[in-house]
Order: sequence, then C-alpha cells, then structure tokens
Amino acid sequence: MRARWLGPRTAIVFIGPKAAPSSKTRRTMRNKTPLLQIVVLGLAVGGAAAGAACGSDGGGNTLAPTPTGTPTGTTAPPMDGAAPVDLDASVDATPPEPPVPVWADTEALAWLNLKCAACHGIDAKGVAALYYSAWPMAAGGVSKAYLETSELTPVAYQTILNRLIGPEGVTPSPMPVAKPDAAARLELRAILAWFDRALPLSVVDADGRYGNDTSTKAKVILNFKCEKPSTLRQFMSRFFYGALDRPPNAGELSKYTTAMLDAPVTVAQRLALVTLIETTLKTEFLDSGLRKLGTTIGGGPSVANPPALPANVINDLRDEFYNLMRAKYNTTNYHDLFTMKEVMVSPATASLYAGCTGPASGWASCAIQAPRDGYFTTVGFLTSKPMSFMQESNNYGRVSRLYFTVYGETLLPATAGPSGEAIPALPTCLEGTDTRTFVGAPRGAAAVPLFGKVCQSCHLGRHMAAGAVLFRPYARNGSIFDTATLGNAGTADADQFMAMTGTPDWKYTAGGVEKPVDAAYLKALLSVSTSGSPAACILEGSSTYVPVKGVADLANKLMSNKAGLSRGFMRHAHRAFQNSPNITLEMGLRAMQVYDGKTQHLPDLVRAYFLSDSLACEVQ
Amino acid sequence: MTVQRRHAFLLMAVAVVGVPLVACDDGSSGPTTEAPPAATTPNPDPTTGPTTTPTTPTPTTTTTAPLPPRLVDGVVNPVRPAFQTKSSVQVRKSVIGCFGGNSTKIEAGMIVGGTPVGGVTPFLAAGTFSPGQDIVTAQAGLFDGDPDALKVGVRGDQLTLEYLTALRNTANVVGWRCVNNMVDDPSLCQCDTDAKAEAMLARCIGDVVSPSNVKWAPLATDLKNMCTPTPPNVNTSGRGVAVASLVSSLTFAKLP
Repeated sequence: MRARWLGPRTAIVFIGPKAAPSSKTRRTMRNKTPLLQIVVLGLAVGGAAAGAACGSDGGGNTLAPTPTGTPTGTTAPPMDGAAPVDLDASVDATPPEPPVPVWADTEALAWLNLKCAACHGIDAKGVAALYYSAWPMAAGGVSKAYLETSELTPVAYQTILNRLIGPEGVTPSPMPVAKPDAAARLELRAILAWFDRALPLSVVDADGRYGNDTSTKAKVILNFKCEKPSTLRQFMSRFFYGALDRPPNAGELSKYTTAMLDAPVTVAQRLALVTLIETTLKTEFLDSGLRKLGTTIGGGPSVANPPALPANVINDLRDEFYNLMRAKYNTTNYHDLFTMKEVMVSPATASLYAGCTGPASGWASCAIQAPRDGYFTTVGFLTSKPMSFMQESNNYGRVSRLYFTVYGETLLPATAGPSGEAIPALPTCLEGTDTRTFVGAPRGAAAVPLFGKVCQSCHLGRHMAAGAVLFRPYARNGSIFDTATLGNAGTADADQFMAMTGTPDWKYTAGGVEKPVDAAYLKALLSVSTSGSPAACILEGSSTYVPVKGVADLANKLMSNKAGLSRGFMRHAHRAFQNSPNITLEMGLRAMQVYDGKTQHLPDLVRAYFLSDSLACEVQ
Repeated sequence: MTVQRRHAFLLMAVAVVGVPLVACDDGSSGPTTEAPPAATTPNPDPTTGPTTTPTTPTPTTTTTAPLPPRLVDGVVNPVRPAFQTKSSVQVRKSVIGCFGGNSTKIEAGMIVGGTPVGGVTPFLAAGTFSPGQDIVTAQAGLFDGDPDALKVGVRGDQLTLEYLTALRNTANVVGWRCVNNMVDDPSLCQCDTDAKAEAMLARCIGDVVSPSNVKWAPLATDLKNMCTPTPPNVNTSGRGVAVASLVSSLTFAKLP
C-alpha cells in the first residue's frame, strides 16, 4: 500500500515560473517524470540584488514572480501545532495523537544527529559507523545546507516516514526497524513535519520516488533572499575564473567605473556578462570552462592505467566526453549525451571501437555498435573505473560511477557490518545465478543481496545487482569480452580469469551445492549478459521492479528523476567552475527549472548555473 | 650586492614582503544563517483516505477549495571555503595576464649549475626542471594536487607547502625574466613610479582589490618602494624583487 502522510496538510504542486503546463503536458509528466510536477519556486532576492532571480532568460522573468501581498516570514506557522498528523486510518486506527511539536532547525538537526549518527556517522578519526555508506553523515553531523541538496535526503526522509507508518518489508527499510512507542512516534511526527517545512523539495522528491500520497498537499513557494549581495567586481572575478580560468582583463574591467565595480552587481550586469560566453567569449569558454566541466562529469582525471593501453590513448580517453560535449554543445539535450549511440574518437582511440575510422587529426564522431549503448559503455567511461566481473568488486564501482555521473553524489562501498535479518527473496526478474563468494564473503550480483536485507538497500535499492549484470561484458580496459575466448592467454583480463578459477577461495552455489568457480561457470555468467536480454531489473518506488535492457536503459531510468539529474549537473558545474562541492538549494532549483523549458542543451544549464543567485551572493 | 646576497634578498622578499599584500583578503567563513521556519497559511481539514466501514462505500474525498500556497522563506546561503588557491591553469593565465607573454618560461640560467644571468643566482633544482619548460605547467601537480582526488571531489583549497614552493618558483622565474627584460612586453614589469606601480596592481590584482580600497594607495607605495629600494640595488633587481613578491603573494594566489 502507499504511504499516506497527511501531517502538515500541505502539498507541493507545480507552479511553474511560466504558465502552468497544459493538462496534456501534466499527464505526460505524471506518466514519465513525476518529479517535474514538483518544481515549486518563486525567487526574490532582497537587498541591492533585488530581482536578480529574474534574469536568466534573456531578460525575461523565468521564475515565479515574487509573491505580492503575502507577508514573508511574519506569519506564525499554524499547521504543525494546530493540525495534528492524521495517519491513514487503515494503517493506524488508534485515537488521535497529540499535536506535533514544532521543531526549530537546531532541534531537528540535533535530533537527526543524535538518532542517526550512531549508525551513519563517522568520528573525528575517520572511523565510520556501520551504516555510514548508506547515508554518510559528516563528522560534525548533518547540516541543513547539506540536507537541502543531498540526493540521499529523500531516502532518509522515507526511512523515517516508513518507521512511522510503513508496512512490513517496505523499502527503504525503517530505521531503526523496531516499532516506535508513543514517545518515539511523537518525535517522528515532529521530525517529519520539520522535513516538510524546512526541506520541502526533499519531501517532494521522496513523494515522487516512493509514491507517497500527495493529494492533500498545497503548493509551496520558495522565497529566497540574498542578504549580502556580491559586488560587480566580485561577481566578475568569480565568473571569469570559473568560466575562463582567468581574471577579467583591464579592458573588460574598464567597461565599468570603479563605483560600479564596487557596487552590488545588478541583474542586467550579470546577464550581460554571462551572455559573453555565448557570444564573443564562446570559443574561449569551450576551450577552458567546458573542458573543466567535461572532465569533471566524465571522470577524465580518473582514467587510470588499465592494462594494455598506451599513455597517448589514455590521455585522449580523458578528453573523450569533453569532446562529445563540445561537439553537441548547442544541439543536444544534456541527458541525451549519456545515451546517444555516438562517441568522439581521436586518431589514437578510434581503433578501440569497432567500425570506427579515426580522423587524421583532432576528433570525429563515430557510431558505436552493440553491445555498447551509450556513454556509460564507452572506453572513456569504463576506464575511469577499470574493473571487471572477475574481481571482488564485480563492477559495483562502475554502477557507483554511473550514479555519480547522473546525480553528482558518490555511493560509498560497504563490505562489512551487519547484513540485516529477514532476508527477502530476490525478484524473479533479476538474475539469481551469480552466487559467488570469496573466502565465504558474498561478492556475486545475487550473493550480496541474498546475504541480508541491509545489503539489499544498495544492491537492489541502488541498482548494484542489475548494474553488475549489465556491465559484465566489459573488461578493465573497456574492451568487450568474447565468451568463446574468455580467459585465453592474451585476452583481456586473462590474469583475473586465472586468479578466480585457480583458487578454492572463489566458490558459487548451485542447487544448494557449493562448488569452486570454474571456466564454464564464468562463461555462463558472461553469456547471460551478452545474450541481448540480460536478466536485470531495478526497483522503482518501494516495491515494483521494472526490467532494464542495458546500461543505457539503466541510465535512462536513473535520469528520469529530472530533479536528481539537474541537481547533479549543478554539483558537477560547481565542482568544475568554483572548485566547491556544496551547492545551494537555490542552485538546485535553477537547474530544475531548466527542465521545465523546451530544451536542456548545455548552454541552457551553463547559463542557469552562472546566473544562479548563489554566485552573486556572499557568505554571511 | 653579491649574486648570492641578491638571490637571498629576492627569496626573502618573496617570503616576507608578500605578506602585506594579503591584507586585502576579503574571505570570511562566519556562521551561516539558517532559513527561518516556513510561513504558512492555515488550511482546512480535508478528510481523505480510505474508510474502515466494511459494507457501505463512503466518499473518500471532499471538494474543498485548493489550499493557498505555502510560502517558505529561504536565504541564498552559499558555502565557500574561506580561502581557495588558484589552479595551475589559473595561476598561469593570471601571470600572463599580468606580465604578458613569455613570462613563465624556464631558462638555463635559472637552473642550479647554470651560468647566472643578470646577476641572479640560479634557483631552480637541477634535474627537476629543464630549459624551455613552462614553470607553471611543470609544477601543475604541486598546484593542483593529486589528480586522483578529482575523481569525485574538488581540488584542494588549502595552502600547502607544495603550493607555496611552486608559487615561489614561479615568482622567481617571472622576476628573473623581468629583471632581464625577457618578457614580450618589458613595460609590464615597470613599477618604479606611483603610476606604474598602481597600473601593475590594477592589472595583476584588480579583480580582487579595488582602487577605492583604503589600502590601495599604501599598497602601491609599498610596491614602488620595493621596486626602487634605497639605496638602489645594482642593476634592476629591485624590480625583480617587487615582481616576485607580487606573484608570490597570497592575494595573487587566492581565488576571488
């Protein structure tokens, strides 16, 4: 059954900055990308930068206008105190519960850090708690800024909600799993009310992901204020270093008087500057700023030294995705870059792809052939995480890297800790034959989730198992295994093949009998993944599994969460352009807003990034 | 002044004289302000959800008017480190933007064991550097840190000993080339008058320091004095000291 949370009695619905979508559009969005309904924003920047939120679209106001006639920050929040949480009667038919306490940010954060850090924290010495990987809380505890923009916050919210009202076996698992007593219920209701009030976008995200009932919720308008606007000089420096890796030169500064440079930057000034990278400074931006962005998203710096690839090839692989971004800069939607059947090749890398003839110099486009099916199966991506199915990590790192590329957040490995009790069965749509263990420890795509419910939180909930099946055809150096020759001398990763089949440490279980891993078993695993219809599926919502046909299909399903995808772009952009890992909620909303528009080409997103108010606002 | 003494003076100036130029650091990392609690509107009490009546179907929804929007105030609250160093690319472009082309190239006379030029003792480690290299590119690893760390993170933002070393080497190369008039436009190395010193400041750190800042004029005076020491140094080494000091200053190394 679907969780029903009527606590604050508010909901979040689409109130676009432009006209609300047509009914047809809304239907489409509901069917395909439910989160698009939830973009709710009305930005107003206070102080000298007033109106700065309105300049991201050629001077047009692309955000919701500042609400007028509505007092901001002065109305007492009556909902939590006056409106008690009303749980679904079929879930809990107990008498009405006491009113929900209204927690301030400090109370709520203290509660989270107290209740959650024992399992998800990390101490000052870097010793992580048992479930740190599932929700890595910073050493000093979580902050509101972190929660506002983390991809994991909706999951954390849902675990709390599920603890309060979730039925048995629901995913994500309630934390802690014990049924709460009355006092604990009151705390849970208070923290859920705080989430709804303080982190509305995360709640919207969770509602979309897990199918929570939002039918009784009201729309939310987020009203931002910048209390310390940047000066024009500060903004110019930030913009030029970010986009072009250089300071503004004398000529560029001289277009403004000293007084203008030292005054708060205006919307018009920001717009004029950002427009430069689409006009006179475009080539310079493509050479410098876009390169940073491309290597950040594509993991270029981490293209390692997989076997049998010479240095010049590796160097070009580091720029593979950047060159795709550059070639498609004005013509292709951001998300399509990851699934299009095209790769950019240089004279050094063309031979890595079947049927590709390299250019004499520079870069050229080439159609990639099956089983490769998009960016995540290019040699550039695969060698940024060189591994294979014939090693302990079993391509889980590649799934994690895919997740990072899409969402901009890292999944952490966890190879120790409690596995959880009451192991649910694997879905029948998921291959169940990879039961490999190494010295008794589960390593196979089926073995890990069958080890415990906790293991399933990542290996099913975050698609590790399905990804391991789908990435199986690819070797450490990004080449494609051939079932017939797997393990033969001179073939890719033959050393790993020998290591896995030459030791009793590696075993698998079939028909209840444990056997040593041998060549026939590995070839059988590989043949499943190269069959064209691999047995892989992923969890959608709390309990529904949907099949995935390949790596691109897996990526597409992840990218259907447009909120997560657009926030991920912002995270990458902020790392690339400002060398900073933490975006603001406002930046995330800026990117989400691009997904309300007609196109999501790179210039749309880059412009949204540089026009975000957060870049024109100083730290308090 | 002997070559060694002048070299020592150059390095001392790099290390010490650079400090006053830090005075204009405007970074701050004070506590942030959390968004205030949401301002909300009262709402009616919609009754939804399935009923528990087993026999008679009961309407499960009411036709209440749409709820008025809930307003949530937020503060644009960027999180930035108090100090961020420039990347190697940014350092190189900053130097070239300030002193023009050909200002970062290593010459044989800079490498220990080479023949001193312009009276400046060679200062770059032999075996590590070679003539023709770009000093910033050659030290990119020191400026940028471990590229492996960039997999899912960001470049380090703390001033490390490695970074300072790389910056000092870069500053000395630029100073050396200015002393020996071996940049494309030697006029960009001029700083021996108030006007020229101010022009150099505007060109080199004008993106972070405003001429309207009360510290601007004293800064320019310091730079000019460094450029024209009293008593005068032999040849033009004062210019080299001034240029090297500016390049090695934290203000120059810091991202705005």
